[in-house]
Amino acid sequence: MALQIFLSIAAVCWLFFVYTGIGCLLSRLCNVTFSSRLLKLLIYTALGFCVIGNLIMLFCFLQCATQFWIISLLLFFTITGAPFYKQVISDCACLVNNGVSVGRKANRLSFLLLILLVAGYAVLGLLPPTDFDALMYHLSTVKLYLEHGGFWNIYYNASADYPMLTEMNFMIGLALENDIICKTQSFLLGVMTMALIAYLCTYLFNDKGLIIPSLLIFCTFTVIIANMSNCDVDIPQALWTIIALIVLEKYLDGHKITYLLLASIVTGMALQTKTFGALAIPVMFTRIFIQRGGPLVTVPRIKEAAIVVSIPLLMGLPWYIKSYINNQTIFSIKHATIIGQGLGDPMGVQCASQACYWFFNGIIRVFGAPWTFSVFPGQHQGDTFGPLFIAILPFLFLVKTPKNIKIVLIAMGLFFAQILFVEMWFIQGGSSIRYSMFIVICATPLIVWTVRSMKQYPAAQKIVWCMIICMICMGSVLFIKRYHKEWLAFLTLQTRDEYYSRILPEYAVIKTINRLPENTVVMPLYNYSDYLLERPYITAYRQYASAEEMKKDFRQKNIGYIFANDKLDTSKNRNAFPEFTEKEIVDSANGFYLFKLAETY
Amino acid sequence: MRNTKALLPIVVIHSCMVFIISVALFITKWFPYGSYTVRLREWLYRFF
Repeated sequence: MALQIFLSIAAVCWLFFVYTGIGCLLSRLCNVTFSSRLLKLLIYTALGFCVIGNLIMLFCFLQCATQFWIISLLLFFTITGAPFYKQVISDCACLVNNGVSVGRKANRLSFLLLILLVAGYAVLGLLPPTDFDALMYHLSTVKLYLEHGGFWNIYYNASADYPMLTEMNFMIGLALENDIICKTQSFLLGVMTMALIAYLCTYLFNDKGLIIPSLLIFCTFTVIIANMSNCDVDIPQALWTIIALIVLEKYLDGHKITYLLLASIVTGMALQTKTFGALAIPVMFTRIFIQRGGPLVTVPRIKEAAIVVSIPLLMGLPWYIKSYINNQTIFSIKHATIIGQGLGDPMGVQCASQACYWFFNGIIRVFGAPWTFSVFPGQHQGDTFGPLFIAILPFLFLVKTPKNIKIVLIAMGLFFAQILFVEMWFIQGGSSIRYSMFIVICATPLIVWTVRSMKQYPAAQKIVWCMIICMICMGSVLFIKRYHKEWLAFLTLQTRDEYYSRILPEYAVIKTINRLPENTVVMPLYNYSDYLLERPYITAYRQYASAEEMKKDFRQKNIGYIFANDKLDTSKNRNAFPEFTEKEIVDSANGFYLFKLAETY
Repeated sequence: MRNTKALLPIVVIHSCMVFIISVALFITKWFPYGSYTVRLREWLYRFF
């Protein structure tokens, strides 16, 4: 595994140069410049990520997404971007120097802790993918597309038709036959997000002293601990949304129309990354109209708004078409809605009447949201923002807030309102906190700025600093608790097999599946570990009216084995598919079972 | 000018309450060691 780790570092450095080279080239062609080196590099990388991701998507549509074409594409852009590498290197060196000088001025202990946290995330980014969603669809669908040479209807994976800009870039790692590259790419995106927070501290608040505390808070949020360095797409989606807003601000400061086009393209990236990325469009749209002098609605503003809406929608169109062809819906997956289905259980409350339903789904959900998102894990799939949002941001009422901070607050509020709207109509049990990653990232420097602005209330300021320190310490301890096995595996440099065996309880059974004859078709009960299966598989994908119908469908698909892989409740695995009475256990480990179906079922 | 003198104690008390509840939830969720912690967790999760 050591060689793969080393090669993944080299590959991601190469990709970084490819991305920035493309971005630099496009910026020169469009005559777009930025005074901040940090913002410039972030935008160059974003543009390169967008171009490469979209071209691989095009290859997938044209059924030519093969190792040969993907590597050829990268080599072509390596040569095209070559004239700009010197500038990129000098920009990076300058930024590293700036980072070191910020670190020297900061408290030594906090800087050391930050370095340790980043190193911890870096190690996670250098290990094979084991996270739930990556094995379930971020990597498993891309692996199937690459094997097939392009898009096809993976009807047995409900998540296969999500927008997949990030996953298209992950395909590079799989094409280079090293999936650690995908994890290292995710770490790169995490580092970009941290750089963006540092930029926000200087751009919005003009205070470099905010950087280290903000980054410490960011790195120790439970939602970040769970997602950074994993092959997840919530951080990139928020990253592109915030970059788009910053570029839009540059345009509104009096720059050329190309800045507006650039902002729209980056918004399109958010939309191509995740279905929730569409929430960026109303934020951008509103920004066009608010906080500017003169009449609210004018022809130029309508034109600007039309650009900001139409370009992202056009960029998302291929994914919508793909989803519509495969699922007959543009929303990537068929959601159960309250429309036409009677009353649901908003916020876990069983409602018998319409009045009760709208009281909880409307009034309590909206007015209680700041508290439910901060301290009610039961309402948001087991996670929360943590207490710092609701404990510290109310102090904003007590300090003077400048105009640019008000704009951030409006953007956060608008995004939050949309999340609540989505919850009301689609996810009545409560959305996952990672869908609100945009708010998490925007709020991080805002929290530290609020505390530093409370100079006229020294006692309250001390209390709030203590809360921040306490949360950072607890988050750090949680980080160690959650990932110590991974770090130990990295230090002892085990083989990939040993690593998976240590981390994934179902891996022993997966190894047995991968030793079955080549053409054996396996049916896993859930998509949970699809990525690791090396044999053809069809995950259980529908319900049947009768046992006979089920057996007929199994026979048609030539399914010979059942992999009982319920990770959330392993006690159910022993009795999986009771309809098949004649089945034998081939292997079992840690509550996971592999059954062989009788020849004539 | 905002009447900050009146707001300050309310905001501070609110922040402290939220923080204490969150810390209790955090510790009992991620570090559920000992019978008291487990019992506290069960009790807290009835409400949160």
